[in-house]
Amino acid sequence: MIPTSYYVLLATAVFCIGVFGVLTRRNALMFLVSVELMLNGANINLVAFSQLHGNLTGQTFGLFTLALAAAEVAVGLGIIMVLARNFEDVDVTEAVTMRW
Amino acid sequence: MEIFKGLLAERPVMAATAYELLAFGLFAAVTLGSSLGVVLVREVWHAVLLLGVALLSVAVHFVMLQAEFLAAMQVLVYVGGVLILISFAVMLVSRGGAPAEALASPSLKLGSHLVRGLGAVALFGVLALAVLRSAFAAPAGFPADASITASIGYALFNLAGGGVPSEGFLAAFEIIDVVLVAALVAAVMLARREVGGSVRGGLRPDGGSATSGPDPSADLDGRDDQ
Repeated sequence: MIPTSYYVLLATAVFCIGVFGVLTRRNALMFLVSVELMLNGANINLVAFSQLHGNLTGQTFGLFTLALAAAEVAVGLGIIMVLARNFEDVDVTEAVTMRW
Repeated sequence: MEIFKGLLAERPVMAATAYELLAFGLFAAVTLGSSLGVVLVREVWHAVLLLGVALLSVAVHFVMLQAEFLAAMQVLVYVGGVLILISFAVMLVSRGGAPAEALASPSLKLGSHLVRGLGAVALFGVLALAVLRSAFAAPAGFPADASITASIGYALFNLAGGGVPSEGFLAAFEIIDVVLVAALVAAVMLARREVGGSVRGGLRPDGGSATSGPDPSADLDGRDDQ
């Protein structure tokens, strides 16, 4: 079997690519996509440690992560639709009317 | 023949074979390459398609980690649901028609805005150092005759059964269906158009006085996403 540290490194890389996307992009849709990458990195970790310990808790929890990701995308898309209607743009640096 | 029998018998506890490492390396390269493409490609639609590649390759990693059910759910929920939802949003938001040259090829967007990403690179450096300096035991794996999918089903309902140990998840299972209903109702509420054809405009700079629906000629895509 593949050593667990390889999978943890891969998950770390995927997570940090997601963080990179959040830090560098300004499109709200790209934020959503980057958050999906981060969730996938976390899921790889859960499944890899599940195999490391021979215990299914990690895999079952990964299922909950999948469901939460679906819910998060539904709400995020609703917010983006409102953003696009109100500001005619999905640039997150444009939506500053609630800043004091 | 004796050698092969020995190999097959030892397989669950054996160290990684060259083929396993080769498959892992190839799919890790696909995952990392498409993930980097997601955050670097200029056009949002291309980024979403690359996200699909990344999610599918993560499903392959799940299969290699003996998580076949989770891999199937990854394909069904992520590629079949989440990705379709995001594609809908891309098409609804970018009605104005993207510039033709931006759609021609998935060009990478390299430039000074990437400097902010140095924080993420530093985070990866620290985490990778921590991972490489820690010692993991050899993976225990699951018994070859245990049904992993059935054991997940038992674990979701706190039932004894299945061959593989796990915690019970009945409370989390019940809570997450409330969360899902709440999220979907909230999404419908947010995206819904008001009866008079007006849209929610409370966040507008003008206080939402001119909320007669989006102007079809509004150039949503006139500005680049960076």
